[in-house]
Amino acid sequence: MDILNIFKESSKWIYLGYHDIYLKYSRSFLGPWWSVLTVTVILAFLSNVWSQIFDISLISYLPHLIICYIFWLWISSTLLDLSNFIIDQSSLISQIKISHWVLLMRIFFRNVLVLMHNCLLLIIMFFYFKMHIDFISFVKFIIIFFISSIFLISNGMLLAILVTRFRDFLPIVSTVINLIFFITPIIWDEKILDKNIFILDINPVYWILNLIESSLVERLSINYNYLINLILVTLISLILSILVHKFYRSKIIHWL
Amino acid sequence: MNVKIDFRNVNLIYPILNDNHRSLRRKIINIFNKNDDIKYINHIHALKDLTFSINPGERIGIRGHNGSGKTSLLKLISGIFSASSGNLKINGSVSSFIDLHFGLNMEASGYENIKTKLRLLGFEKKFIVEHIPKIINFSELGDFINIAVKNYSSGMLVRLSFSILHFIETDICVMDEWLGVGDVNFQKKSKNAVLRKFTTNDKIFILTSHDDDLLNSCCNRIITLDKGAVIDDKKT
Repeated sequence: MDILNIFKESSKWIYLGYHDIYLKYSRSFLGPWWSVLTVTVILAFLSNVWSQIFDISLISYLPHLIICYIFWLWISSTLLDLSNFIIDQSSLISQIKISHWVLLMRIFFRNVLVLMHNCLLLIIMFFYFKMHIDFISFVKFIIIFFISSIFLISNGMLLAILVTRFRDFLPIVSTVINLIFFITPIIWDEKILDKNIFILDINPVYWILNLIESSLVERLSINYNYLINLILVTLISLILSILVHKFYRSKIIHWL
Repeated sequence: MNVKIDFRNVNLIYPILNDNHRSLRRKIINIFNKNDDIKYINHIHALKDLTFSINPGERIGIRGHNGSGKTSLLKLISGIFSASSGNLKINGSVSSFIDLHFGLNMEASGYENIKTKLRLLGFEKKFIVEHIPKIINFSELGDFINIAVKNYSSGMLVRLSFSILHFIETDICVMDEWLGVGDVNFQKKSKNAVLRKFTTNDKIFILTSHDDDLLNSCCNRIITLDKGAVIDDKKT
């Protein structure tokens, strides 16, 4: 199975993903910390404005905003980058024999590295708000992060195949990702929805953000319904992505 | 393991997609469209019923007009394309240098590009660390190795790419119209290096070119393609 190359050639995608980030920021003074600074400024403005709009105290609003916004950036940029990964790396795909899964992981890992930089804000938040995370909660966070990663990787492959075949599909992906931002409680609180909370029950991005937030914030408890939903959807999309890629693997090169 | 390439009735057919075929919106509209001309996708029969074997020790020169299927054949051997029908068996590791600029990042230095290219080809850190000084030395790029590749001349790019290839040990090597580029001295050096490396009984070298003199001097078997079919196959 081609997907096994993710494990066999892990050193390849780790190096390539790291090298992409290294090259991207090699000429800047702050390097990848530029993006952290940008996120910090955005969060500073958003938290001040939206806490006043919703009439919520900054102390209770800021942890939710920081966690959800940082992980939303990871989810959205990963999905968008993965959707385009075959077209972006078409020169490589048409010149050497290389696994599509390895090239997908290169892009995924690149986005994980950006997330890891942004996690500095989480650490600052933990110290500033004197938040605690015990070992069990940390393990839960790692498990949720791992499942979310598989969800993004498998859906990224499905989207990439569609985007490569139909070039007008990428703007649709981009629009849907923007739409998800507005219908997911990232900058607003889910309590606003009141009775219409069912729209969150069918939103996988919300499941991920909710699970991550509840694993990191002590006072929140994990919603196991969301966890089961996420595992099921991830399993289905993983199987589907393996099958669809297997069927179209030899055809993709002719769509480039 | 005996290095060998075996073609049995191999065909390669692929679609030529235009803007209409690449549009999801069009695809949905065309479901209700009765005009079949719009829906029709042209296919190219790039390689037709190829049946031949390549044995170890053979240096194959592939000649033919533009569009005769030379590059498609190399891409098939490299594993980039898959045969549409027939049976293609390849015993041995393959290195393909179909495009000179494959994997090059024009913003990165020559040194960084050597590392990245070797990583892309599947080599581990230990091999890369061991071979980088040899590659730099062979390329004769000197201090230029530390500047961005976008500042290189086409000849310097050839030196860089060829030097990487020279240190890769594979059973089968495929090159697409490549050796005749660069300055005269480097052409001679690279040609001698290839011949030294592949004039053995256990490797296969495949080169496509329009230059008959180059093919005759490098290769011991010439295959001529025309419209995707083999029309001549002779030993030299």
